[in-house]
Amino acid sequence: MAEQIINPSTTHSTKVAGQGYDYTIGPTQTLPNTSTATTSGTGFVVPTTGIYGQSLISKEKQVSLSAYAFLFQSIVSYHRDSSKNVQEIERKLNSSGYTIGMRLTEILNFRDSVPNKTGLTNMDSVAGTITNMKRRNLKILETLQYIHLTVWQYLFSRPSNDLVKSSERDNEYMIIDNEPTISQFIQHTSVQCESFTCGIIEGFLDMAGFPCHVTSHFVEETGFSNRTVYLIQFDKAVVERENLRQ
Amino acid sequence: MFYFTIIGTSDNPIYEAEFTTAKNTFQPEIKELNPYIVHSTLDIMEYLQWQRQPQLDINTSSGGFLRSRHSTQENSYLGKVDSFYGLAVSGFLTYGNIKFIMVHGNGTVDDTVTRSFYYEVYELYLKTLMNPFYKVNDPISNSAFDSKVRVLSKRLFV
Amino acid sequence: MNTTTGTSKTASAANTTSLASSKTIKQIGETVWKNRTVKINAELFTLTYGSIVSQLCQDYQRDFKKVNDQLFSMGYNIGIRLIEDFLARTAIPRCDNFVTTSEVISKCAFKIFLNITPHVTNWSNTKNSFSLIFDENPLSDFVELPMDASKELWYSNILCGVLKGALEMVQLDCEVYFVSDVLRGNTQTELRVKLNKVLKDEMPAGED
Repeated sequence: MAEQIINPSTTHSTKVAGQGYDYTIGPTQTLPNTSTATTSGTGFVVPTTGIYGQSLISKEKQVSLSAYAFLFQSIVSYHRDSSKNVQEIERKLNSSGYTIGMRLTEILNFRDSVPNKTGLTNMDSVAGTITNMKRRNLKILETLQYIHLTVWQYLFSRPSNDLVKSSERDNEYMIIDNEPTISQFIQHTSVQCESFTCGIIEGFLDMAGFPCHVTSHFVEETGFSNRTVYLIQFDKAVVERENLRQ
Repeated sequence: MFYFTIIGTSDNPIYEAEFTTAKNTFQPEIKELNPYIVHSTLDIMEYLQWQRQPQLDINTSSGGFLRSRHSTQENSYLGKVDSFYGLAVSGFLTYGNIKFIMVHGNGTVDDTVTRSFYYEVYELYLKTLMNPFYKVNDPISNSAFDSKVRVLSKRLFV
Repeated sequence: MNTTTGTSKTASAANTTSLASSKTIKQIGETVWKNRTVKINAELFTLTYGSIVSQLCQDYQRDFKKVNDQLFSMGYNIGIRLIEDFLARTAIPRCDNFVTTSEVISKCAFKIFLNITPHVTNWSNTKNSFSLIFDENPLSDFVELPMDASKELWYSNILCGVLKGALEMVQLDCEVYFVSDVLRGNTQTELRVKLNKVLKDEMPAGED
């Protein structure tokens, strides 16, 4: 986003309200004599198509796992071709997943606040059905439970296999997945393709207010050659806040 | 009259709007001050953001001033969080810690109306967020978003 | 066995040992989707694709022509491997003509991978090019193109690459490109497939 000069607030804006917020100009006023929403003419044309016309409630659509696997493999190749070493590839995969995780914090919690989701998949505005928003998670353990159960269920149609707190350090937690879904067709190389899932977790936690660093490690066990441990290291500030606000 | 803002994760406004009618506009001096009022409310919002049990704070040294109205059921809508010389300020926190803050020109916060307004705007914000070309903390310059928010703001003027 | 072009549909319909009826193709597609496909949440797919497109736009500094080309080549690399997965799962025999090919693509291939069935329309007079109209596109849910992108970027261009790669592996050299896209403000999303020529079967090196 290019940096633009922000005009002082005493400037009179020449922009009419309804044309979009411009951060260089500041807030625009609703004009006193606007007509109602559905009429065009003087007043705002409110389009019903486009992204604001779609329903936020998930229609539970599915695609084949192989389509996803092909897409994921091509993302990994793209990053591999444009990087010089393994850490860079993992970092890029992490940042690809990060943007997804950021969105998941908001959307999954919002959907949990909507009662009676069936039948709402075609309504473009479901906020009217909400009586109370679901409580925001303020504790580390609550948020990690949410990831272990709900987020994993959303991503991979099953909860993750284990959630463990490290006994050595108080800012480390681990989520364990015996058979990671998205990288199951990729051969073991020195690159951790699950950095993508780490990015999803990291984005989720950062946006929820728990800044952290997430890495993945292969820890084989009998029968599960791809068993992966996602190590979540929270910033010290998070642990301090957790202890302060009991 | 109302001054509504959406504040991002680094205290940056990503959306601002004034909801006014012919009879109801901010006087120029107050209009200038609105961004500062919102900015000073950020401290209070951040304190309330991590508050676990509001009832237990009654006997703190701050005398219960920073106890928000949120119940144990919901801690997103915070209700009236601050006041400034006859203006009231209400707040709302999203699950991604984006803050919606609104200055109410008439000094009172009607919880029912304000709460449903915040919910609707949150839904619009989520749809904006789902767009892969939108990054968190980008200003929302989409004119459809702006129009829809203004339509929703009409219900604030009951 | 060669794939011929330009033969009428009625001629091939008489041959019962080959894939003729589009109803059969549709049934194969639905059966494979229901019984022989492991599925994953489509929204994760949408978000992942969105993440890579926006990453590309950033990496190429909003040179959307390069982004289109990169999406196409990524799709091409997927297509040349995807065709084997497709043939293994559906066991569909060789298509007699290009019309059957179009039916297989729209009712079977898209069905078992993306669970959508675009319509086949706008056949050219020589029956060597057709259009696919997409009613729904799982790649582009909740996407709104920024102003500069909406004139140049074909958001779902990866699909063109996938089709081109897959068809090339069955000896059909085609040109695949988008004609219109609802994300760009057009009324519908239309993808055009044009057959250039049929490639001769190549002998593997070392054999006669």
